[in-house]
Amino acid sequence: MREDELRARVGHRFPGGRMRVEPDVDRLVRGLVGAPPSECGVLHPTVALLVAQDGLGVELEELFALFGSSSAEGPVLGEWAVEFARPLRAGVEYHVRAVVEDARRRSGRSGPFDLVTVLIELCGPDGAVHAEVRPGYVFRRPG
Amino acid sequence: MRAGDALPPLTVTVEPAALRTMAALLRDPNPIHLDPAASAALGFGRRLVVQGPITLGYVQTMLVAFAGGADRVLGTRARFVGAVYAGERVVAGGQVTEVRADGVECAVWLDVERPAEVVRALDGTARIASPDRPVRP
Repeated sequence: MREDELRARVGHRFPGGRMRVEPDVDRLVRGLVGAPPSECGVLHPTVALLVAQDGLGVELEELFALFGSSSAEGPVLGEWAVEFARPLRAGVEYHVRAVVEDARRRSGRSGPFDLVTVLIELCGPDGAVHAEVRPGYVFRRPG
Repeated sequence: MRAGDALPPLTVTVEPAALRTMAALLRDPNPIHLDPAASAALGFGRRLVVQGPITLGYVQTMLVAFAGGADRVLGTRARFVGAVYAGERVVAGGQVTEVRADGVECAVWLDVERPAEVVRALDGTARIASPDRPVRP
């Protein structure tokens, strides 16, 4: 993918969708990351990534393809940010909207790579944004 | 709580089965988490690369414990600066950097304990609610 093609992806909107996390999924994630079960229905912060990624409305493979890559090339999560305006809760339905916020070609120790940041907003039943999630995906490029 | 205070660390050995479960939850087909041969072909050796959400999850678990609940974590920002492999022992840690009325800023990290060295795998910042601030709805 040429750099101008990469930059042209900024502003691309994903279909989005609606997501609800049941308590057993939160419990499963907590088990994976060494956390005790929730006692008040508040989701573990890591679950925000699951909600965000699941709510994109496309499979990860489709996201990779948008940037001329595929899972076989080993793209990875390079950065992550989340801001909670309110805690996310189990059993609540969130409306998810997502857009490519930034896409830049960079150079690292192992050669050139593209860093793509997606802004994913999780909106609660009141219509307000309860969380902003920003995963940054790294696509290694041939040197 | 004041600047310079250490966050109590969390030490975990990454179970290989966790990678398969996380891959299923994320519907992530990336073979570097599941197939040693694919991982080797991409330059990681015949080792399974732990997903970022798991390593970040350890840091967030450490943060939740320090903050006094998941509802007291206001935000996190992290860069994944090195790979963690299945079976490795990791330590999530942090330090308070600033205490303000609207929140407590922390530096957070995840280190991998290898036989000859300790390697940083994740570097970031976090903001948690001040101890005197009520829990958000």
